[in-house]
Amino acid sequence: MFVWLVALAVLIAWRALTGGINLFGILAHNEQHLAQGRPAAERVQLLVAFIAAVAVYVRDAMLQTPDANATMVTHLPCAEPQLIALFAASHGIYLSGKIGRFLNFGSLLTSGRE
Amino acid sequence: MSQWTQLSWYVAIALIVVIMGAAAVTLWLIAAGNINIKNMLEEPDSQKASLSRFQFLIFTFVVAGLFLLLSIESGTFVTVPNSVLMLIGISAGSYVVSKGITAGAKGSPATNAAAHATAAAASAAAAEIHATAARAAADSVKR
Repeated sequence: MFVWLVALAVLIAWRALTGGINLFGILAHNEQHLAQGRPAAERVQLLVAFIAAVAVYVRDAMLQTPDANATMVTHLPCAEPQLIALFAASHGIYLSGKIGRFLNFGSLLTSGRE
Repeated sequence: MSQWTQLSWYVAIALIVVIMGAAAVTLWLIAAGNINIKNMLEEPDSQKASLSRFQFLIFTFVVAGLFLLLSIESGTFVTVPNSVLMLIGISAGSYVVSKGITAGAKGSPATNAAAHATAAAASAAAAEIHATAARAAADSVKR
């Protein structure tokens, strides 16, 4: 089963890298923003924070040692509180931007400057 | 070995064969292109890939992979700590809120009207503050 999961992951990664899975516009807010051709800062920071969190968690899992009374590892490693905080903050920034755009704060700021 | 124990072994082996067979067939169909996964990261009403779906995909492989790896290594099902469930929950919660906002933005005229009314009220308040500040500045210049 593990071999099957790895094979599926490799297949999906291969398709994603060769264009077999559509990743177009993953860093844009919407089609209008996509046409401008530049990535959204909130999405870039969310992607970077997510990849960093996953990398740190996988490293922790690989370096995990059994508990004092056990000979084998019996649980997945706990995610560090800092990791959870980073992840939550990153999602918070992303959602704040989205809520801000929804409430039209951009035009509000513009009108405030006029 | 009792008759029931022997029967349960046969059933277990048959179930494993069925599940592994279904998994192998699914993998083969994806590899052969009979199951189309090109649009798996797109939202139904958009041509653009979704970052939330991408996160879910990676999370699923990482957590399921580690779970399987450690379970096979230890010979028993390992437990999943609450902190990991919290990470998945943050990701899922963010996805739900994000889709709610998007649906609200595209959705009912009432929602849009309410959002625009809020923005207009805030804009009017900002303009009022500006006008007050301008009057105060003009007064101080006169003095």
